[in-house]
Amino acid sequence: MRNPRGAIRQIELLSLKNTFVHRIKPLQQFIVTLVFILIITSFDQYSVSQMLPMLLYPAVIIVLGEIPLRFIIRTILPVIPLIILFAIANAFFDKSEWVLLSGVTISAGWISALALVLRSLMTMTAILSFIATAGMNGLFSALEKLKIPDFFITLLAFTFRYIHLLMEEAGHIIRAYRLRSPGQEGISFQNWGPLAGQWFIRSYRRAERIHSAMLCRGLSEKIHQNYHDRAKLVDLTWIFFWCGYFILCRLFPIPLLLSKVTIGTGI
Amino acid sequence: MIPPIINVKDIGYIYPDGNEALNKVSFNVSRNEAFGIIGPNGAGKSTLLQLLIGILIPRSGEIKIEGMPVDKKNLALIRKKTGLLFHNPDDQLFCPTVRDDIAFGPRNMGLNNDEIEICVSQAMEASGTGHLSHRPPYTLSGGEKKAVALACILSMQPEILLMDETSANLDPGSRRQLITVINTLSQTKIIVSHDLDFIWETCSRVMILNKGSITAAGETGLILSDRFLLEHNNLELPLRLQGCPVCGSYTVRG
Amino acid sequence: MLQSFQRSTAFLPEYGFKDSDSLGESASVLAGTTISGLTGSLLTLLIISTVIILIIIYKHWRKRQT
Repeated sequence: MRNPRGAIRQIELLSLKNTFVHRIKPLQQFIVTLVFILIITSFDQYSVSQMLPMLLYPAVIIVLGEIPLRFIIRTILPVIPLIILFAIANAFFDKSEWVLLSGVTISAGWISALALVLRSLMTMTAILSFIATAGMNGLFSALEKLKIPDFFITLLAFTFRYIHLLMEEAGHIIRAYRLRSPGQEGISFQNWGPLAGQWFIRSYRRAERIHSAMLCRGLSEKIHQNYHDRAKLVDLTWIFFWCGYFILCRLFPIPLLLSKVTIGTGI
Repeated sequence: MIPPIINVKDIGYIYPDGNEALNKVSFNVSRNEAFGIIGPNGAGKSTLLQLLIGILIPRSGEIKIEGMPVDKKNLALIRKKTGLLFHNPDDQLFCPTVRDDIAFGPRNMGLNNDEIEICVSQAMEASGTGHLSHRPPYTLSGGEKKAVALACILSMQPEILLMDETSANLDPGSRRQLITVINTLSQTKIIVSHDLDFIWETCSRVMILNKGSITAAGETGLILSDRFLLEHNNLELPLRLQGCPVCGSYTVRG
Repeated sequence: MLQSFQRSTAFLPEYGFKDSDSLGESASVLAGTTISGLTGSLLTLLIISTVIILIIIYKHWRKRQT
């Protein structure tokens, strides 16, 4: 597991790369990611194999965008126990029988659990890949172009910046505490209250100073995003290619068709 | 007679906790002048800068920038004309890259992409930060952060620069670079610092603030060479005037 | 036809738990627990891996060129 500040910083660093995917406009990337998520959630709860061709999208983004697989795994890792918990609950509640190839019967819940895990992992990977290539500013500019009200975008941008700040201040406080409490494991219980209070006050005052700096540089009611040029042919091709591919995956059971073509059986 | 670009008259400020930061402070600054404000800790120097740009509003008195009173009605225009360089550059840099941070102000001014690009390039050239353009601000050294923070202000092409402890925490090389950059800027400058050698090299006139009041004001050379006055205000002579501890000789530069 | 279209475009379709009777052969195929399902899944993964490897090789080749 890793500290959230490190994860946020790594996302920002990754988004500064200059690869083919990074050059695609954030709005087009956002639309493709959104369509991917919508199609993934539209699959039947037992459609494990039919969902597999969708893996191509996150895999291609990771390779083309040069996103380290370790980064994806480390960022997703904290959420995995929660997904597994839901998946296992699914397996226990869905009691209908499912006959496997060998004649062994299992609860259908295990199949839907597998589908749930696959669905969640693919969705999270797609979102992370989008953020790691477009960056948070890319997300904000995509939302702005989609005419999402300025208030929500500003709120989101400030929240993101505030998380950064909270983590930084927490880091400073914990470092100062550790330096003055040698040999002590963690933070002693009686210090939790004062430290949390200090954390809040320091973060609040720092946030105020940053806000003042923003005001001094002409911030009004909204944060103006970095407008990119108009979409080029490659951006539009990107959308049409991927959306077309996702729709194909959704409408036709590609693995089944492949199996029919190769071994000539649909069963 | 040319009217002053900054006119401060009898201003007073009391913090919500009852601490009186400024009391009947008055001074004028002429266009293109470099004006230094020195004084001990807690003298009200940073508060004064915040009042000049309208972050704080004075309890009494009046501040005018180019004849406009600093109030809510004029705030947007005053902030276009005035740039404040914060004491801690980390408070000022919040965008993912240096370029984004420098472009933040011009973008808020409603400029188009080409104009923003020109402002950013000019500011980076003036501050010597061109090579840092794609770096995230948190990966920069202290000196680089200060230079980028200065570029952020310069990109808005302000007529007045307010600088709060700009030379603090800089190594001698970065400090020297900063002095060179500041001396090439033609804008009106108000520089707050404890570094009296820095003030000596950058300002033509200086004012001493102590416990919220002005205790002295005048030509830099005159004020900074008055040992008694400085010591009375919890300051000491600039290093260049202290003489060599071995032979007692002086080397005065600037 | 309309019904089949609706079924394929609906988000989270039939996300209720099904009776054992309703889980027919087609469900097993889509889940990939039949011979064709397993073969198809493996072939799909193979194709995706091939595409990814080709992209990696192309990127390396491009890097070497520059």
